[in-house]
Amino acid sequence: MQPLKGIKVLDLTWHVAGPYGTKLLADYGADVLKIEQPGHGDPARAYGPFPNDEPHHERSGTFLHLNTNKRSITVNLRDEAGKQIVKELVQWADVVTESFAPGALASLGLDYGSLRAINPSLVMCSISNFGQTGPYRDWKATEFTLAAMGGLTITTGAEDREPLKSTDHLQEYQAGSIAAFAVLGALTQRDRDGTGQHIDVSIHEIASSSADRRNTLLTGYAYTGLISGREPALASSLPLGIYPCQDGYIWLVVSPTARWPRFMEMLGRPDLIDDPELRKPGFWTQPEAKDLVDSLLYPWLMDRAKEQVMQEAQAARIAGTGMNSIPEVLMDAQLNARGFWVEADHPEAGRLPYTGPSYRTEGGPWQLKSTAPLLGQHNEEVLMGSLGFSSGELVILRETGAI
Amino acid sequence: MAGRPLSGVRVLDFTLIWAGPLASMLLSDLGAEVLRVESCQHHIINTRGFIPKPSKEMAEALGTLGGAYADKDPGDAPWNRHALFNGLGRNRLAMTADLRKPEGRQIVHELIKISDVLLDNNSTGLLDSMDLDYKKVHALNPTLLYVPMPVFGLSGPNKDFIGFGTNAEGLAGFSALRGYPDSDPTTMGITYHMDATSGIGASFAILASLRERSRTGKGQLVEFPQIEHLLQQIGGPLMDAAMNGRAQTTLGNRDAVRAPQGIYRCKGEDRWIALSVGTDEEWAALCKAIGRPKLTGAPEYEGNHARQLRHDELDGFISEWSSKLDSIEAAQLLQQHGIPAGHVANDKDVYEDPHLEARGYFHWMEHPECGRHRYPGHLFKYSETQLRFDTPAPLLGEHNDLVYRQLLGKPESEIERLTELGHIGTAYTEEALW
Repeated sequence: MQPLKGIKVLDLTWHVAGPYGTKLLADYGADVLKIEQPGHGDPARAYGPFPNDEPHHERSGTFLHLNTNKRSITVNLRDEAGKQIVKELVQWADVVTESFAPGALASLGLDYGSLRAINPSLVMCSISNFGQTGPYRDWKATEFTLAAMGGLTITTGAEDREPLKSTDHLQEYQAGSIAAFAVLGALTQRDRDGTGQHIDVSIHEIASSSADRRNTLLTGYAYTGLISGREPALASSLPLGIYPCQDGYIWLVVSPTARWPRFMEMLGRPDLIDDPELRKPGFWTQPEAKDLVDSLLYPWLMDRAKEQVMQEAQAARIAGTGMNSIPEVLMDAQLNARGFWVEADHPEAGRLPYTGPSYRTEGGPWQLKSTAPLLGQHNEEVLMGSLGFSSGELVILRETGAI
Repeated sequence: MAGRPLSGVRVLDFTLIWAGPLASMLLSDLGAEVLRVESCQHHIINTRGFIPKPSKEMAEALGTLGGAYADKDPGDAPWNRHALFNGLGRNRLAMTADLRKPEGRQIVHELIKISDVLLDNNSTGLLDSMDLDYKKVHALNPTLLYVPMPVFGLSGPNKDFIGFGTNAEGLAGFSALRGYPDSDPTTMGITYHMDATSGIGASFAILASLRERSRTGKGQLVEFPQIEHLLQQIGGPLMDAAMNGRAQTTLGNRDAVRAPQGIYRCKGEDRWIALSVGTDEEWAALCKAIGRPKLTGAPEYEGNHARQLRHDELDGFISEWSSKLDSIEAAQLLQQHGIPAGHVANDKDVYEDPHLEARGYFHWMEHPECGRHRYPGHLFKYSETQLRFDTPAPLLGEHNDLVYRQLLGKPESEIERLTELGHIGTAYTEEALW
């Protein structure tokens, strides 16, 4: 039995953050019912990538990835009959998740206060750019501007150039991850004592605090008054970064400093391990140590391909690994040996590999039971099967645009 | 309310650096009793500081991260004064035992019998080598969740590889998706996304597994392969490779669709704004905000596609405007025009951010050796449960008394013996201070 089996989630989120959070819940067994806008559905259906670059709202790679194991019904939240359907589903649900602009659900009469009146032990999770309170609450933002405001961007990139954004969407993924954790925490509380509650997740706060080095650099600022920029925040002459080799690039991290003898072994220079100069305390924080490292490392790398660098570094117990392109990631030997990718058929997008479990136990807690739902695929199942509407009533709901 | 969600759950914490301590921090926020197991004989790498005992001068040379000691002074016990450990260390208990010796292992075995979770992000095999492998631990306590966080997983040809978060980001394709498009990858600098996100993911795995345990009554091995968790977070590019064989690369600070998007220089040293325009409405607002209303409605700038083709030109217009302004004021002005924009904040900006302040994000805390400081707070808000933040990061061995006397009920004579043998202590031994 999957660990989250029995948890019922009414999912009003869209885009990346919320759907990622509910994907985590669904992949481990929760019953996630996605409410989509009639017509277009979740905007992520329009993002792509699409097979052969031909746009189609059932074939968006982003949407397919984020919505595994979920059901979809279409409901117009501005329509009275639509609102009534949501309210009935709130009685069914343990959890409601939403990512509307703060205040939007209140204007529809579907805010936490209204829903709690229907289901007092409800756990509701709101994910928004800046949270439900505070002076920036209604500011406009994208993940790119939120990462910048969180202090993440200014420490990334080259010292003598403009700050550089990170891989797209990471703070949204992080927010979804935190939402999933917070929801399970709140359900644990509810199971103890019946308490329902509202969770406020702010992507800006997450970028400010949990992302990257934020916690340490903020605490460091409180301790020292020093501001980090794009210069190496951890000064050492030993390698920490990306280096070129014969056929590509590798990541090399020689840390902590005490590992320098292993690094000499990797470079085929064990004779230097006993050099008294190199053994002096603080030697590896000196600039001249960098000249030594460069003179040994670059020629060594230029004689080796990515795979060979990785094998020889690891043999010396040094954290050296290749930098992969995305297609190389799909072919990665380690991931494939572990059976990480799971192929599955989708009626519109065909057969594709999906990411496998994010954690594993013997009982197989993660399952890909169904690929992403078609828009409104479960309208009849939910409205007739669960809520008891007749087929005639369903026709009327369709005609009036409620579903 | 009957306590917090994890009140009564005890976690044995063998974690180091970022990922593990962040996970145990989240569990402690929910009320778990988290007990760090450390050794006076072994300075764990990159955790209680990056170097065991630097001088003040050495600390200064270590950079803002490496040298982040309270008042820039490593003092006599630097392991109690570094921002890395102290920023993530709240609500924790800390005890010591020499795990290389049989008595130390015996102590840990006794703790395992009264714990619910064992959390570990050391290199694969380290706990095994200390008689703390899953089989052994499970035999001691069949209800315990044993949670290793191997970077590459517990199986497969590369399972014993060593790697930091940055290594895994390269292997997982994240590094291929960032960088300056006009430069080679060596200039992209370092990100530490995996460490930060693994902490969240592992704590999710633990909550889900505790839920399962409440049904089955059984403990189990919960494997958290960090790179496989990380790979959940690049859905689009992976699907593009699978669907179209495409190797997506970096666009720098630009977006594939929205234009203009970028980071633009402002007045002052290392001051910038970030903005992203994606609709004609936002474009019109931007033209007005930067004092070029005549650009509005010109067909060569209508639509994202047209603006993508003229991106360099638009970057020039925006920079010319922004370079004369303060970054925070420029961002506020753009917000007044309804444009998604923000200042590219530095540590000071974030620390003094009025929005975070209004939301009560930071917490004041008195640390016995570092004094009073304001620390980063919780990652989300609950309306009912009060998340925990009531003690600062523990000193090395701070709670030995509580653990040895109260939890394990050791008599005075035994405590004296264990202290003499070096298990109980509050400072690293000379051999640990390389």
